[in-house]
Amino acid sequence: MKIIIIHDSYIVRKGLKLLAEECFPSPNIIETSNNEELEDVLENNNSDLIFIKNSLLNVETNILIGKLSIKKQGVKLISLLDNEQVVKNDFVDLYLNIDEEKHELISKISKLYPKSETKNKSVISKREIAIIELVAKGLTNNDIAEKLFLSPHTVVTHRKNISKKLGIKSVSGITIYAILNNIINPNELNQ
Amino acid sequence: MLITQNMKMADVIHLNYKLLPVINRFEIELGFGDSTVEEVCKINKVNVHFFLEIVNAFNDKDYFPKKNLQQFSVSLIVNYLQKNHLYYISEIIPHIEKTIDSLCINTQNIILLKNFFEEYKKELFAHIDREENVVYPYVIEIEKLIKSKKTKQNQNKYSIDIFADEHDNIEDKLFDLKNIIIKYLPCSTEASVYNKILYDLFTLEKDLNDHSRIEEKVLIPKVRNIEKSLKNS
Repeated sequence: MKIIIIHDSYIVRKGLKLLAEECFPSPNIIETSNNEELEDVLENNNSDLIFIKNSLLNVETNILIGKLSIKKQGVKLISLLDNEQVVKNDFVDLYLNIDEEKHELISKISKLYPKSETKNKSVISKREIAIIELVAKGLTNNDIAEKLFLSPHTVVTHRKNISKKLGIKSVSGITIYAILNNIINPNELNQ
Repeated sequence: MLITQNMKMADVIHLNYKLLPVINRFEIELGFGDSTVEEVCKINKVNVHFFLEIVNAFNDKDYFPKKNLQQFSVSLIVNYLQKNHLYYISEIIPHIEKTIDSLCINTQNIILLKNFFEEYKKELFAHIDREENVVYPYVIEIEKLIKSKKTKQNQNKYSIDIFADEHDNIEDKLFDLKNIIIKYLPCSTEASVYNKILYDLFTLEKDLNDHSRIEEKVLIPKVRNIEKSLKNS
């Protein structure tokens, strides 16, 4: 779980960090205090969840969020209010008031993550196993696409999901996984 | 907790023993008695302000005073980064290697692990080699140029942007290695050996992250500024 916290108050950032650690197991948290660094932070980090101070959601940030198509990638956006009027923003998944109590905050955040979604997340599909096998045998994404009658783009998406599920990014790492799980026979590789 | 110059050096270690290799890099040795950070630094001819920023950034990953760090000279920063390299090459990597070699049974799985680590090591060393032989000499030279005001002599075709572009993440394999051991390698026996390997991998990872953060957020922007002023003069 990668989380970005954008707020200009140090104390609020630390509070949000504690809250995030209560909600998710060992989250990877990046903090930033201002809009200046926002673009840099958003572009360089594939996050799963963003906390942002509501008043920082101005026109510029909206353009940025639109440009990076964060919403398409399923990144959730939580906006933090300090008792101000809410101007509805399409990008925001949840508004939290900083006055709220712990149990309210946690229950609202966890509603963003329905159980079924997390349950099936780490199961590897047959298609993915087929791709793992071909990656381990040294085929490129294009080779794989041709062989399985998929578009190269679909193969890339599969590869990303595989890396996420397995926690393995490199080709040689995937090869080891394939051998350990009898997806391929190591003797085949030496040919 | 923020480490200050008036703290006792011994208390710094008690606060976070993982700072030990970082402190060693400044060629500061144990046996501080009750000396403060400032005193120890003075005896060892270490720039105390630089020392404090480095240990604080390492100690607390949310503490990273980019602006302060960029005030230090390129040669001081590079010197520290080179010490990091030395630690990787001559200490932690050989140490992990030794531990892996100490696994008794040479099963197929262990051979896989060894080969994977070997691959990672080669990648890391090649990366270090490039920094030591190309990038660091370049940034030191460019700092000399601007100091000597012989700015017109900058005919270097290299630029820090090339480095910034190439600065790929060699973290992938390290990340994989950890997960292979944690999630997939059946290691019913010799658990303690695997624990040691993992512990060292986590330590190495933290150190590398700290190292590349200094390169990316301090060294690269600083050199970029120097390049700019060389061009404009």
